[in-house]
Amino acid sequence: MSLFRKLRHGIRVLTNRPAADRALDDEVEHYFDELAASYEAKGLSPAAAKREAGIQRGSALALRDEVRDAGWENWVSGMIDDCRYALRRMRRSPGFTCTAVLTLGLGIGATAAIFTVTDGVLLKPLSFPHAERLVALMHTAPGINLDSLKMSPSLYFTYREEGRVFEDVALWNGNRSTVTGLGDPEEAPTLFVTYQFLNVLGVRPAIGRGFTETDGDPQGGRTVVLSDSYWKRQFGGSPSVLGQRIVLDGNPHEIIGVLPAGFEFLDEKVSLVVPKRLRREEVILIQFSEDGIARLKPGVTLEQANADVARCLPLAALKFPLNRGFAARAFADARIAPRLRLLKDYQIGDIGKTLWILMAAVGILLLIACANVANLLLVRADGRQHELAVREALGAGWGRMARDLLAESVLLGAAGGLLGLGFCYCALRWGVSRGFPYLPRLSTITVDARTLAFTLVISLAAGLLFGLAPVWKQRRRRAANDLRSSGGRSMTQSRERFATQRALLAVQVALAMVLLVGSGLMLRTFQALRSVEPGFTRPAEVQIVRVSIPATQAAAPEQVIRLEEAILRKFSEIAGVSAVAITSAAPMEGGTSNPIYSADHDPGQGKLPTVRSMRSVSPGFVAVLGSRLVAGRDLTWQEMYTGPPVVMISANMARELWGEPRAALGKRIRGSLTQEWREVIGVLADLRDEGVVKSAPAIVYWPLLQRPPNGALSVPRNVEYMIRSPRAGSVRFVQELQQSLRSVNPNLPLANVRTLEAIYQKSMARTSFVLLLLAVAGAMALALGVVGIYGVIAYSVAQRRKEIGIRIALGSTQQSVTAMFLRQGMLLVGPGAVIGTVAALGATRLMQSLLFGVQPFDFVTYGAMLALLVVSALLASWLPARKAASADPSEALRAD
Amino acid sequence: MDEPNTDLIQGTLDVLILKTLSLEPLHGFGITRRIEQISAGVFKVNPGSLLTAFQRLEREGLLDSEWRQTDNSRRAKYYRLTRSGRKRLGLEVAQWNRRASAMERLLTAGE
Repeated sequence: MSLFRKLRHGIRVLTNRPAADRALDDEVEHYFDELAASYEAKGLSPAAAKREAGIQRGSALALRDEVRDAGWENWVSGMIDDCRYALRRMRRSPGFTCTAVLTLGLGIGATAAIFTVTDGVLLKPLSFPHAERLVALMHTAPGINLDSLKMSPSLYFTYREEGRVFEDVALWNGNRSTVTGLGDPEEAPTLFVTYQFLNVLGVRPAIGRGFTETDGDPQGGRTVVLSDSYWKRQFGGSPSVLGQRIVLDGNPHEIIGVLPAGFEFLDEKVSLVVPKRLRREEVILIQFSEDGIARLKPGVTLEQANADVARCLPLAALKFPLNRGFAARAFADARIAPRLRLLKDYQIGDIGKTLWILMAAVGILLLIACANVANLLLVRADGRQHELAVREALGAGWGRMARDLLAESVLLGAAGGLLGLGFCYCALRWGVSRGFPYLPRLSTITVDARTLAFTLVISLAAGLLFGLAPVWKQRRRRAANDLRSSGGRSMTQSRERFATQRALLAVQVALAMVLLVGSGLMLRTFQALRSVEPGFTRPAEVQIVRVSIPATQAAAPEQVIRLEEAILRKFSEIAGVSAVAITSAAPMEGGTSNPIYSADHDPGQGKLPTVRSMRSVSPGFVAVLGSRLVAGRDLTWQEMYTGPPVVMISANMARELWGEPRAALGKRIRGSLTQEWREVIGVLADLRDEGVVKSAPAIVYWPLLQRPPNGALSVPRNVEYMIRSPRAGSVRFVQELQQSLRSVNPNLPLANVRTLEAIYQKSMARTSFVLLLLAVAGAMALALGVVGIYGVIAYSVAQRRKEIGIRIALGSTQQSVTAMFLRQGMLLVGPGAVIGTVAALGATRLMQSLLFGVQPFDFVTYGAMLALLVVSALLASWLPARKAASADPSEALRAD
Repeated sequence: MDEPNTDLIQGTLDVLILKTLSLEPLHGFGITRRIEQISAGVFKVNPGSLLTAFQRLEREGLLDSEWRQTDNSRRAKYYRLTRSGRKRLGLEVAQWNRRASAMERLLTAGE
């Protein structure tokens, strides 16, 4: 109550200061009139009474100020006055103000932007209730050299039946389904999940219902849940969709629900969610092609969960039959072990370290900006020296002066923060729209209250940080009153000022050096990546599209392969196409892996041979990649349909098994004990299939069509077409592909259109992302450093004009004067560069995990960056020095 | 200068203002005059302290003020005790009495 009254009163005074002052003045005046009247009553003359009362009162103004000081509002209005004064000063020197605000804006903007990214990606929780209990069911299998193994249906049933730590378990995998009957056929990104999936996440459909056990029953009706955006796009958001049927991959599905608008799961695109219909009795032991999530019971830790999973794993082998053709000890030999991860950690992956490094980089940049502005403020405070000294002589307190000096820097900080917020907003919008291909959780990256709070705090902190420099100096100066030396011409003063300035500059240069070395190392990494041979050439000329053939369009495998070949023939007729091939997975987009048996390498009784990467390809794969055959020849269509079983392998696999590529020709391999042996007819140059940074895996290239002697034909139905043409990537070209596809079969959609270049870039996205940001930070740091050096030298030149005039008049050459200032410039840079080099040696070690093909203490990088720094510094000091040296000595001596 | 020290400590001034105003509303100088009269000149009121005290007490809701004509027909700011001001005065007086009697006992002990 009383607080409220105080507040109300204060605000009334603040909003109507003159009225409040007048009332107080009236009261004071009346008081002393009465006092005078009382003296008069005691017998003094009116004039004497008035004088006596005046003496009692002292200064009316001081009295009013004393009374006024009682309220909080006067402290505020004092601040406002200080700010108003500071604003006026800032307006009077727009050059200084703009420089300072821009410098701070860039520093704060960069820091706020990276903070927002870090906050969105690393710190904010997932959007599910109690997301901290959600785990990704991951495993390792050291026995077959697999670092990361996902889930199998056998383990799903085992964990559900035997596990003690999970509230519920679900399988999921992200795929696509072909939707027909709603306009043009289209591929919709689809999550195939076991029926508990939404329950595990804690998500309820916005309308309709979620899945129940009957939806997962193979005997029950097929059902589907739509995403909000798909519902709005295809059904106009009408609630009457519930109960309608849509055709997915040729089968009608009943729509039973729509997900809430904000639904997000990992970074999957989701239009449809379809329940898996598993038959427990058909599940075999080893089939690790699923992803799994689970919700832990409350209070269960990750270690406890891991321990329980480890207990369950051997039980799976007792509950489910081993795959046909697998060695009896295959499951035990794989030594599968649990490695559960929190769902959030699973989604974020290893981005955390990268983001903290970037956070450190922009933090450094902000410090440099602060140092720069502090230097500018010092120069300004020097200019105000006389004024400050006068005010001090008139009795201004130390706190009062500090408040005055700080008002300006806090205002600068606030303005910089505002500008920085603008920068941050634009940078993030640009970045998110370009989709930082490397970042997870993009949709959580938004400028929100947390960003605002962070920006406010760092703006104020920055303002106080650089504002303290002049305050601290001012305090030291109080010892020796500067009133005598007007304008600051005494030698000691400039030396003292230089000491602070030098220290600030050394800090700037050192920090700039750290950033420069960091960006230099990233540049070298990028170069190293670009120089790695990825296993394909001119990727920008390779267009990749996916075509999926549902059973409704071609039921038998024979029909599927004929249709796929017909499409390929049609594509190759398009103008400008030089090669076309079909593959089950595009390069660098994964593929599957399995143990591969070789006829002359027996792994030992009951043991599994090494797991190899594999994909199915059509003839022409080598040509379309622009790769080369190290030995042997490519597949032919004829051979696929009628010839003996053949296969191609990668060069490193050939070397590993048979010493050299040529020796592999004619050798036989197969994918399981029940398959027929296939003869190696070609050896392909290595392909960096797991990204440029990782070494090329051993790859088996099966023919697209496989004809087991005593089984059904096998052909993948979801395939990627790779088309090489200089016109790849153009809209027109994709349209022509679409037309060609439609002319073969009008019910097939063209999906996932991209170029090989895009995939290649994506594999280097982390490096380019970090490189870009560090390079920008490094360039800004260098620019700020150069400006700082220029400022100090130029100031020193201005101070020493007379001295230079005398020197030249006495016979110094221009060169010697210039050299003098260059030396001074070097003295300024030297300590910073040395400290920076040492600091960089420590700091860049933290970057190790981001580097490729270069050491953190790369001599070339350090040398180049040091040279860059020194040359920039020389240039920055040469410009003002030359001007000084070429000045006319008589003019210089006459000045001032 | 050689008068005994009659500076008022803050709490004292507040309670004196409250007591004075409990009799009738007064303006600033009126309060000064009343205090000095009743204390027979032992307490001298500093105008700055007095006006500051008005500001503070008014903000705490113990006083109300209004501009009125004085007897000699000038405009002056009159202060009046509010209900919570009256309550506070009761508390202050009780406390003051307790302290004063304690003080008295201490000072007269052993006589």
